[in-house]
Amino acid sequence: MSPVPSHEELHEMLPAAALEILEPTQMELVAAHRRECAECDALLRDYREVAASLALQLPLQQLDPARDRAVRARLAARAGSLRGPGTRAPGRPSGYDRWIGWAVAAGLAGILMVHHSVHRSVNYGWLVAGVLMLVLLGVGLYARTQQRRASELRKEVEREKSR
Amino acid sequence: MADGDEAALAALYDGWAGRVHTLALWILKDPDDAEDVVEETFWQAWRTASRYDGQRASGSTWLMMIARSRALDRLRARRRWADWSGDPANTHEVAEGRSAAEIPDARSEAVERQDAVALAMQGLPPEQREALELAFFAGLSHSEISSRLAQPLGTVKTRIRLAMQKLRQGLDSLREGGS
Repeated sequence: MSPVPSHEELHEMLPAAALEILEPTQMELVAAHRRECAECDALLRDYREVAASLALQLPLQQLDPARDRAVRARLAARAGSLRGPGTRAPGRPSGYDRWIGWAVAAGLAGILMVHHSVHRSVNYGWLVAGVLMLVLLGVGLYARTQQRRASELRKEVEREKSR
Repeated sequence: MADGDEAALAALYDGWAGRVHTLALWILKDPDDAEDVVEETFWQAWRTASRYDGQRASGSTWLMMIARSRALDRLRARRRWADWSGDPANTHEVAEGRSAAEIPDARSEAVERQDAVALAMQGLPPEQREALELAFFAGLSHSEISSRLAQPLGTVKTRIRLAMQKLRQGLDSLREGGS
């Protein structure tokens, strides 16, 4: 094989890439190629669906009730221990965290604007405040995107459960 | 789920714990390890839900591939320990004999995609199916499978590639039939 594999060579690696049994360097080559080749990207996704379907062929074996309870309890404890900024406690209104976050961000930006206006030249203060506002806006948009993705996942899970 | 919704984690668990446990137990052959893998899988899913892209993979594929990775991590750790300690009892390998595809009523959920792959799986030549199962359920590399089966490396690569292509054709047939 040549140092830089051709499209055909990478194409042949896709089934093994989906099974994640290639050497790390080969996996990196495939990963780089799929970013540039829509055909191979789509094919690799197909192969991953095939690979996951292999797991679903197995005879179903549920956790026994005691183990099931133990896992649920441990997951709940771990999830509970992480509750804090960026997570939402059950029962709290879904918009609360988002709006309180924006309010805090706006307040911080305002304080910084005033601070810089007083202690430095006015133009410099506005520049810093403007950059900060842009950063905060970006963070807010990113958070909204993440929420939308999570919502998609939930719908997907519900859809698959209902099949 | 990415925003820390514990109810979403519980819903995901309710729907998929059985399937995740089935895969983990099949790979590891140990109820304690399988239980740990179930926990780690759902924990990872919950923590990384924001990276999930529904346009690029179905939810079941995403979750089952997480479960497989976690189970194979443990299996490989066991192998390393067995190599170091010289204790072969620590390596519970893929069950020999009957394959998943040969077990009747292997699926409790009637999902078309699974059916298409199952049908194609049953049509695979035994040597292709064996190589594929060693790759998927044992996570062995081409060269490891080559050693295990005492077959040339090129032969192993070809068997796995052909097997995956045939299973994918099964999916294609399903899509064409549905369109």
